[in-house]
Amino acid sequence: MGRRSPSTPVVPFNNRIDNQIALAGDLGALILRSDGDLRRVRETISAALRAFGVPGTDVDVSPLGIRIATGGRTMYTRRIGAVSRNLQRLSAANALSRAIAQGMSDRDVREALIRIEAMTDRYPQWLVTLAGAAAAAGIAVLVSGAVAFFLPVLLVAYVVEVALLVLGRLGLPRWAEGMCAGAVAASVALVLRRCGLALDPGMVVTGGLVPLVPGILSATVPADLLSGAPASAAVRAAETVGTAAALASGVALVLSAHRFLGGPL
Amino acid sequence: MIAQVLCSVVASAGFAILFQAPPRRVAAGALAGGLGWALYLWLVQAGADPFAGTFAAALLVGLLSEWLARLEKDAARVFTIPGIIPLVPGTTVYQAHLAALTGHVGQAGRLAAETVLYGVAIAVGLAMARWLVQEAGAGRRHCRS
Repeated sequence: MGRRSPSTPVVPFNNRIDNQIALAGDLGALILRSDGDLRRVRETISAALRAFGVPGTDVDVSPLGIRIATGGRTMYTRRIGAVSRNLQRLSAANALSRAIAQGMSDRDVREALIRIEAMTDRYPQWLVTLAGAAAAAGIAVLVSGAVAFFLPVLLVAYVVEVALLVLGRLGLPRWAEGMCAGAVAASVALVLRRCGLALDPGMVVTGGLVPLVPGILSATVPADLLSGAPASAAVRAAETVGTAAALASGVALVLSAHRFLGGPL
Repeated sequence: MIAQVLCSVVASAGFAILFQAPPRRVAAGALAGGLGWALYLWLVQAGADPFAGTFAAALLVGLLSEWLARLEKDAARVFTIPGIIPLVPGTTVYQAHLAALTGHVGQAGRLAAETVLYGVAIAVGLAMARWLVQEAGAGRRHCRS
């Protein structure tokens, strides 16, 4: 890896500072899109700018985007679209942040950012699907206190995960995907109950939807409020309510139809 | 209790894989999740309030994550996210919405309030862990200088 040297700038001086601000901002954007926390994103961008030797910057981070200003002039803005929680990218971005602090060259930082952005999923799809279902089954046992829920929830969660893979190819909006997932979970739970395999369809459905419910987001909202970021809390609260409402609507739709058709609940 | 702790380890490891955690981090995250849930269960069975149990377990997960992050030179969040999974009120969020949609408004309100309280307990536990580790680090640097 090349070392930064003040006598051999990668690009002319003014462009070099612009480039370094863009590199720091892009690193922050990468962490934010991988669901890094706001404080950490702000600290990483500031540390990178300090390491680059860019003075007097003001870094503003929200779940919606990043703004870096210097001397009152906005030098960098980046809007953040969909967030995809990816701990592999978060880990790689953290390693890159350490390398920048140790003097990594601008060119190497840019190449590393491109490499991290291009990272493919580490685990095969079948393992991710199975892991999601197993996690759901584990949570169902914790919530219900009964080990008997493990297998029915494993089955429902697995079917929901597979259904989501199929729905993902249709390009549906997120709320529609959530509704469909809720409907699939409720349908499978009712079938299991009819076969005498589900003890309590309500718990089986709840467990089956665990990988999709915004649990971490709901714990992030108070964290944002406590750290003085009410706008961020509002955005995350809206996302939590939207996702949970979509899932619950799908479940309620199937349960209503089942009741309308005379099925026992 | 052993089955519950094992299930919390499975849940944490499952979410770590779901979130594409590097393989070496999956075991660490699962361990944090298992220890956090074991503490929560122990406290609740000893008569502690579930919210206090959640706070204490979140504090433990936070401290473990900060320690693992320093040990492995990685971001604490890589360990915190899988570790906190057994404690997060995800099912309560969904149940509150379902109750509201099916006309059980009182139950929906109670579940929503529970979600907020559990969320606050987790957030305060994790924030306190981060603060304690930062203060301990600052104290050590101060002693050296």
